[in-house]
Parts: sequence; structure tokens; C-alpha cells
Amino acid sequence: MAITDPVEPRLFNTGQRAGYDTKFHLANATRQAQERGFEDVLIVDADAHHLNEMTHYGDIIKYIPDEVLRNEARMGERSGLMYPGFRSPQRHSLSGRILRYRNEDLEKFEDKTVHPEVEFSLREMKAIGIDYQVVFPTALLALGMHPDPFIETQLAWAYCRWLTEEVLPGSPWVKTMVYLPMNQPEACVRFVEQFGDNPGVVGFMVTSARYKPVHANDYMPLYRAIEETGLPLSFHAIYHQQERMFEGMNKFLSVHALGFIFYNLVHMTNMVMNGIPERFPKLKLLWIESGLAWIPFLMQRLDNEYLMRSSEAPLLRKLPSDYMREMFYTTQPIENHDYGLLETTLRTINAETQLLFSSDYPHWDFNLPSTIWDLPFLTEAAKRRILGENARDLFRLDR
Amino acid sequence: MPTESMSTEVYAGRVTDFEDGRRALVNVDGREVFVFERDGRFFAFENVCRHMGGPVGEGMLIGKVEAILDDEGRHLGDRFSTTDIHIVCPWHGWEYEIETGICAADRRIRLRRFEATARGGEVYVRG
Ligand code: FES
Repeated sequence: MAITDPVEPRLFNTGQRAGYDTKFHLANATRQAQERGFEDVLIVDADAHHLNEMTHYGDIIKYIPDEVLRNEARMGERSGLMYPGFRSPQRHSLSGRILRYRNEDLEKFEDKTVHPEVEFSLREMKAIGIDYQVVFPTALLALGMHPDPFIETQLAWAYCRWLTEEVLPGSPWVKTMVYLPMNQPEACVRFVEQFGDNPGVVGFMVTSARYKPVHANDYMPLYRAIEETGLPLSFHAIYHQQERMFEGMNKFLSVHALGFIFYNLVHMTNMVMNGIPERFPKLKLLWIESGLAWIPFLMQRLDNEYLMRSSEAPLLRKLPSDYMREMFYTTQPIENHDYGLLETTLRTINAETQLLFSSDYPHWDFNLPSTIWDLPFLTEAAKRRILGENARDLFRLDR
Repeated sequence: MPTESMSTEVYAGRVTDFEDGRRALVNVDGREVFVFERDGRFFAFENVCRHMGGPVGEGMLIGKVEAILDDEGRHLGDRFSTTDIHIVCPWHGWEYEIETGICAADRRIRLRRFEATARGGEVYVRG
């Protein structure tokens, strides 16, 4: 579609002269999909985002259970409950060079039958060739660093209700993983019970920027509860600009490059060394948006040290890398500037069964399915597994 | 069998069509090519970014960012070049020199470039 759609050929879709339309912005992606025959390929996008959930903040906060806090949010106190230092996603626009951010307010949503967020998802899914998409928040990914755990839980509950009651019912193709307020472990179990059966839910999500260690004993009931659902527990990477060590980094690219692996490196190490996979062998773990290069790096580090100091990790019955190879990972942002290294990485992580395509659209470093489809060293069967079939099985999409 | 490659010439519009930064998209031998003017000169490149295929021709034109250092190597700030102009792909921000189509961050990579010329008040692109 899109590329043959009528558009005034002399005007560019920069949003300055022709208005802004995701369909046209992604016309080259549509052409890629047509050239590669994605119509016949199941494509599941395991990680994408709302255009901007903060534009619906008024709709979200009405679900805050605590009435005093709800009133405070309505009245705009404490910047609507977000913490000082919270930055809006606009900062990702590269000073306006990445037009989606600058022009997102110009996009028109006219379909009265679905929520604008779903209309947006369906628009870009169609343009890219995606069949199912798992959506996550953007601004609220930072919520794990909120200094008040009570507010994290209250806002997370409101967000989950808004998403599952107002947004997702609009389409069977758009899904989510439930935000878990991990600073209050006992509340997380209530989230699993309340939202786990929702048809729009395909798993549970931890925003990675947070300090409470994942092996803390009070998480064990949560892991048991999630294991029983059969759905995955994911760690969605996010940076935290105010991280003490990152305060010395003066570039967004520096903080982003390290920030999106930093917390997952810590959580993965704690997970494996404390034997969580041995304690909950059916708990499926999914690591989102850290790219791929960190995985073989950490496998080598942990194996090397474990072999020397195995007495410190008595629950392990095999090498740390063996546990990591049984976990799941999403592709984006795929480090694909050196195919030799990438090929080694994919072989090391058993990509054919463990890797899930993700776009991260509409964020600044989004990926297209062609990043997998065009790899010269994968079989077509492997490409199909990574682009959709692994996610279909993990999320039980044909339930 | 032709022994020489045929080059196609495609009409891209009147010179006045390109005023105020307006650009044109034309089809040259099946490729989508964008054409723009800057300081009286015309430039044309395939509208396919070498990163992930984005519509680079939609992007902003902006001076290359240069670091200002003093004699001791201290960083004093940054500035925009007024002579080295880049076009920035709007999908993820890859930057290319408009003079050559070379990628600013990796000079081994370049956009497919076409010859754009103005003749008699009209602009043509040659494949
Ligand atoms: S496609 Fe152009 S910057 Fe990525």
C-alpha cells in the first residue's frame, strides 16, 4: 500500500508542508515489506511503545486508587506525581533531527472505533508489516526510580487499568506486558492476579532502572505466581540520567549506550548467580531493549569467574551461560555494523529459538524486520522463528 | 546488446519550484530520487538511507557540528559549520554531506548520487 497512495509528489512529508502522517513517514518501510514478501511472514513485534502516554495522563490518573493522591495528581501537584529530574521523551529527537518527535502532535487520529494509541499502533504495524505488537509505556518506563514506592504502585495500577480497559480492547493485534511495581513486591502479586488473565496481556514487565535486587526473598511469591501463569517475566531496559556514575557523562548517546545495558547486566547477574532459574525452572525470562552484544560479553565474564568461585553460587548446576542460553531476548537495537560479530552473537545465544524481533517504534533507534530478514547467514526458517514464531510460542498468541 | 550504459534524464521541475527550500521527488530508472537546491546549486540523491532504508530526502539540512578546542586541547564549546552542510535522515539521524553523499560518521558509506542541473530555468536529473 502506502507507496502508491495518492500524495502530492512535490511535497515532502516533513510535517512542515504536507502535514505529518506515519503512513508516509514509513513509506520506505512499506516498500521493504513488499519487496521481501512479509505478507506471508508472521511478524510479531515484541517491544514497541505508545506514541506518548503522557498525552492521556488525565485519563490514566482517574484510576489511581488512593483518592487523596488522585486529587493531588489532578491538581498538578508534584508535577503530576512524577519525580524531579524526570525528563520527557522529547529529548530523544536529536534537536529536532528525528522528525517523529517534533511532529507527533500534527498526526491526525480520526478512527472513532479505536483509541488513538491503537490507531497509531495499527497504522505503523500496517506500514511495517507487523501482525502483532506488544506495547509499553515511554515516560512511565522511568517510574521504577520514583523515590516513593507507594506512588509507583498507584500510578502503575492506574496505567494498567487504563491500558487494559480503554486501549487494548480496541484490537486483538495489540498486546502488552503488565507493569510490575517492583519496589512493593507484595503489590506485584496483586497485579498478576488482577491483570494476568486479560486477553491483551502476554506477560509481565519490570522496568530495569531500579535498585532493589531481583534475588530479594520477598520476590519469590511473585516469581512463583508468574511461573504458574506460563507467561514470561521481562526486564525492559531504560537508562537513568541521574545514575551516580552517569552524572559524569555529558552526551545523551553515552548515557543511552551504557544506560540501556547497565541495569540488565546487574539484574541478569543477580538472577543467574542466585539460582533463580533453578528455583523456578519454568519461569521464562525475557530481556528487552538492551540489544544483543551484551549477552556474549556477560556469558564469558560470568563463566570465567564462576569456574573459579563456584562455592559462592551453590544453586548453580551448570555454567551461567547455559542458563542465559535458555532465556529469551529481543533484537532491538541490533548491533549490526559488523556481521561477523553479529553472527557469532546469534549463534552464542541460540537465536533460532530464543530471539524475538522487536521494533521499539516509534522511538529514535527503532528497527525494521529487514534487520533480521536481510542477514545473509540465517536460514529462512531461522528468520521466520525470530521474526514471529518464537514470540507466538512464548506469548501463547494462539491461545 | 548495448555496449554503453544509457543515462536517463528526468525533468524535476522549474527552478522557481525549489524556492523556500522546497524539494522534489522524481523517479529515475525506477529509483526514487530527491532533488533540492542550496545557494543556487542543485543536488540529487536516492531517497534511501544506507542505514535502514529511511527517506533521507525528508530530513533537515543542518551545518556539521564542530568542536571548538583551544591550543591546549581544552573543549570550549561546539558550533555549526557554515560550509559543510549535512542532510539528516529523519528515521534515526544518520548524517550525510550534501556535496558528496558521504556518511559523516563512516566515510566508507555514501548515498547514491545523481547529477542535477539547471538549464533554461528548468531542473533535470541524470541517472
Ligand atoms: S534509516 Fe536513515 S538513519 Fe536509519
